[in-house]
Amino acid sequence: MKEDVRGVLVSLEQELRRGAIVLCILSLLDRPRYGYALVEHLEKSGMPVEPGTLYPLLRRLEKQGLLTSEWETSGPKPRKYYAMSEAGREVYRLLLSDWADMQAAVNELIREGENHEP
Amino acid sequence: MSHDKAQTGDLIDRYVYQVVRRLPQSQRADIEAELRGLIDDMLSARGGGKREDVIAVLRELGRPAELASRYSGSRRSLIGPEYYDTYLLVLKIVLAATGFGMAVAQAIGFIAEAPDSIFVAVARFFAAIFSAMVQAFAWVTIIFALIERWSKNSLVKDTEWDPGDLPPVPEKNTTIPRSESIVGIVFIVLLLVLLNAAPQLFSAYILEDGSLRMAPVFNLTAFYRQLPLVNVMICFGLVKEALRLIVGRYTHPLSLALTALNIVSVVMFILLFGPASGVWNPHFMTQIGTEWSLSESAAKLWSLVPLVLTGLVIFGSVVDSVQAILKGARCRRA
Repeated sequence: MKEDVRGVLVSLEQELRRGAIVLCILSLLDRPRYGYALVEHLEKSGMPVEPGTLYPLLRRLEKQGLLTSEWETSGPKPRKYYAMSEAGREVYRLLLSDWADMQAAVNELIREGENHEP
Repeated sequence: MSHDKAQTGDLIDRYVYQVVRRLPQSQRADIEAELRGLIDDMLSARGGGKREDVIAVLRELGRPAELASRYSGSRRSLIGPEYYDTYLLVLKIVLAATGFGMAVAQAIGFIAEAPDSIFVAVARFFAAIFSAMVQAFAWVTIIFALIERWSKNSLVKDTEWDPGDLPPVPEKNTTIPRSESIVGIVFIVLLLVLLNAAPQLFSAYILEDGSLRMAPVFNLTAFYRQLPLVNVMICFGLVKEALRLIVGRYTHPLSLALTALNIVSVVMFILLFGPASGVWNPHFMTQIGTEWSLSESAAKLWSLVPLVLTGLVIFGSVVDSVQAILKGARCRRA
């Protein structure tokens, strides 16, 4: 593949993943977790997210009211734990059904495309 | 070992500082604590706190400015996409006109007063053009940055965008041809350059025994004293042309803005160049009179020049304003 096409591919992949990241984060924040635990978990699950992207995103979601946070200072080192708020759970539920619809629609389109091919 | 630890700690301190100093005061402490925790976790995951580990971790987090901009979210810009194209257009015109005007002014200056050596002449020539263009760049950018700030609230950012609000395709006589503004900008910039670089060029040229003598129109000491204000006045002209370019057709708000700028400019002109100002060379007539043997009444005529000029400026501004208001009103009815 040519170098410039590879560049286009990389940026398209990033765009494709960007929207799904929020869904993944919310799915893990059913119970309180701290940032780096999320990084490791997402990495292990095959959805790696850079810490430099994840941490600002967590703050943004908190500001938007989808997450709540709390500093946990009783452990060996102080950590900020995030969890879904009530509004977060509501949004997560709606996003999940959107995700399912979209997946079905996209898969259907891809199937149609394959059938047209000789 | 402890020395190494101190060094890595210092690296982390420097990194964290560079990130948080770019963020709002109220969020700094919290983000700093979280960021330090993250770096600590990342180091433990790598199983080491050596200098290479710290460097690798900080690299992974990215440049401090980039990380900070992800935290603050908004991408700030001096001139947004709304005006960027117009800005580039005006910038090109102004730079070209400035370069050209400065080159002409310098060339005439050399003719009037021969430089000591070719080397000095060439150096001065390019230095003058360069510094004039840098100034032009700065002023255009400042003007557009101000337009961007002032028009922020009028831009529909958060409110619902209604296609019904789109202005009608303007009738032919309410559009402002771009060429008109471009010519306007070129002339304004040339005037700006000449007044700043070589006000002595505004002179009567008298050939006396084969050598050129100049009788300046302005009293140069007084002129230089008020030059900054003169520049401000001329820049209002630039703002007017930039607004015309951006809006592209006569509208009611535009005609009001143009009229307001006209009024301010006329008042400044009267103060700076009116009959009561000391900017005109009072000996102008006697200086050329000795050569051309003009009569006493000619000197009186000279004293009328500021008055006539002021009248012309007032007349021109009134015509310009009335025209803008009429066209703006016509457009609103359409």
